[in-house]
Amino acid sequence: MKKRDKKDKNENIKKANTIREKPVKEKEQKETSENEAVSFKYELFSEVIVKNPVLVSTIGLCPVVAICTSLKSAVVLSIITYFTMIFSQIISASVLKHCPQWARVALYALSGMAIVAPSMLLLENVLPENMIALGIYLPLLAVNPLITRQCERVAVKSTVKQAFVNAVSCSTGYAAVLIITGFVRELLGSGTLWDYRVFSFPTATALTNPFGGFIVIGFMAAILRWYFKKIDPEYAEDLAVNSRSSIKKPKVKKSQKHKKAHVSSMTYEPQEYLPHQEEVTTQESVQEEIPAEESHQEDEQNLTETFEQALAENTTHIDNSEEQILEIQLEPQIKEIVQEETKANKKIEYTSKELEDLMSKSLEDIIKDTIKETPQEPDADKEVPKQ
Amino acid sequence: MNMILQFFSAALYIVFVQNLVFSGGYGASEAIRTAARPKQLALFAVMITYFSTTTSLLCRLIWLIPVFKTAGTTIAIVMFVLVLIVVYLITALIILKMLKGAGWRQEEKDKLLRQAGVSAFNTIVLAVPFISQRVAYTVSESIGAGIGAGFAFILATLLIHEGMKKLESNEEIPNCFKGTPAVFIYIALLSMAFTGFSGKTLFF
Repeated sequence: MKKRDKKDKNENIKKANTIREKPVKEKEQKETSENEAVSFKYELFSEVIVKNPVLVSTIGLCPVVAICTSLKSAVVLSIITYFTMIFSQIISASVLKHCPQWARVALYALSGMAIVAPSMLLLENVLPENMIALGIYLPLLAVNPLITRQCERVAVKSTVKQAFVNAVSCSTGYAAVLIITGFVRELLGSGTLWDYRVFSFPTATALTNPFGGFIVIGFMAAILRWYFKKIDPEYAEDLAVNSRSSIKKPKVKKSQKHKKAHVSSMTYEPQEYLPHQEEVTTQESVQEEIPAEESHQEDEQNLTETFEQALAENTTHIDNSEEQILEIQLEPQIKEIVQEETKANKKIEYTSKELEDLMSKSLEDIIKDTIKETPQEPDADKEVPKQ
Repeated sequence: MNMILQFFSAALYIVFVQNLVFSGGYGASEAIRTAARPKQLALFAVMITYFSTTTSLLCRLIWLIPVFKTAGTTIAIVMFVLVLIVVYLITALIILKMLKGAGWRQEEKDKLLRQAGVSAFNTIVLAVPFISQRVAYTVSESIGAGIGAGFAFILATLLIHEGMKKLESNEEIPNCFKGTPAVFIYIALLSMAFTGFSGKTLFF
């Protein structure tokens, strides 16, 4: 009987612990998912707007200017870019981390080809006209420098999950430019949209040539610059100065960098991201070179530090609010545990006779009796009436 | 004599008439980035010329084998990429072996290999065997196209570099167009000129 009671008590404590642990686990899960959501938003905004591969970093221009002459081609290219980028980055993050850098570059091309070749076969059967339109530019996606750059700078230094997030964000930035370019060039160059005639006015057929592509992305880059200027003039000016030429690239002191990173972390807002706070990390534009890897590694480190700091602040905020909620949720369970512990301590004071009586009683009766015996303490939370 | 003529005609065609960078957009991003750092141009151009010529020649030779002649476009494309990968890996190994006892610092070695990687896996390099196969170039023409690609890249980079310098000193450019947008518009004008050389209809 005694053993049984002990067993029951242990089970009760276990249950209480489980109830106590459950919200903690839920809290951790919730925290992680919130952090991930913030991280994804941040990455997406950074890759699509602040560090747009085409308009800011001037990378992967070939398909944009050469074959994005229609919306259909742009969409097909975007889809293939998504798959190629995600596949290459996941392979890099999971398998190629220990390969030497010179060998990795070749493997990126191979992994790119692993996606591009089946896509070509599929397109040949499903959309043969589109395949002809894409011509030799589609297989060239396998050696798109954008994929090589992202794999080398991000994927090999991060986890598979991070690489996936980056691949999706970067591809979205690239696809956005592809689709807008395709849309504008098809509309103004051919007067059609998705092969349907929109207007019969004379069209600027010149836009379907590669120089038309350069003009369109030139205007898109100017619009992006205007947007930066509107939200952060200093950042726009820095971008203009740095993209003009690397000959007079201003050197930012390390201390300043850290200062800026700190400032950015202090004012971090996922919804209202201010590009200037990332100026050190986004001075890529024209002179962003693969040989200048060191400076980029530093920049990326800063970016990571900034982001981590910002996240920490955000997390602290979540902690404070959630702890309160947790306390409120846990209050009855904690009280129960405390009561049970009090009973357990009290039990030691019992005499043998009392113990015999207790043995004959059920556990519930014992608890009831103990509660009756325990004088009710004034609730600490209750306000003491003013005298 | 005929072979030499074929070689030069293909090279000149690729450099001036159908400049790969301006008329096709091949290697445009690398040209812009190299134009911003002209010190790297020599090494980059040599590597691009080497890779494009070697790949183009090897692909052309493989293409002469009857089995590959009858193969489809996708097989041909996979073969081109594989040839490029093999050429690059062999080159990288040679560079590593040569530099082993040369007293180079590890950073310098890495930099050279990185340059080799960037120049090998480039759209302008892979475009040459594709064009050679499409236009059915002869062996000498394929070599000419490969070398021409390298010179086309040099010409484009130098023109962009000069333009960048002019744009940098121009204060009349609207603020929103300063930097990359102005460079894009400038390249568009150059591209328009080269497209005009090829005899395409530009407007209406």
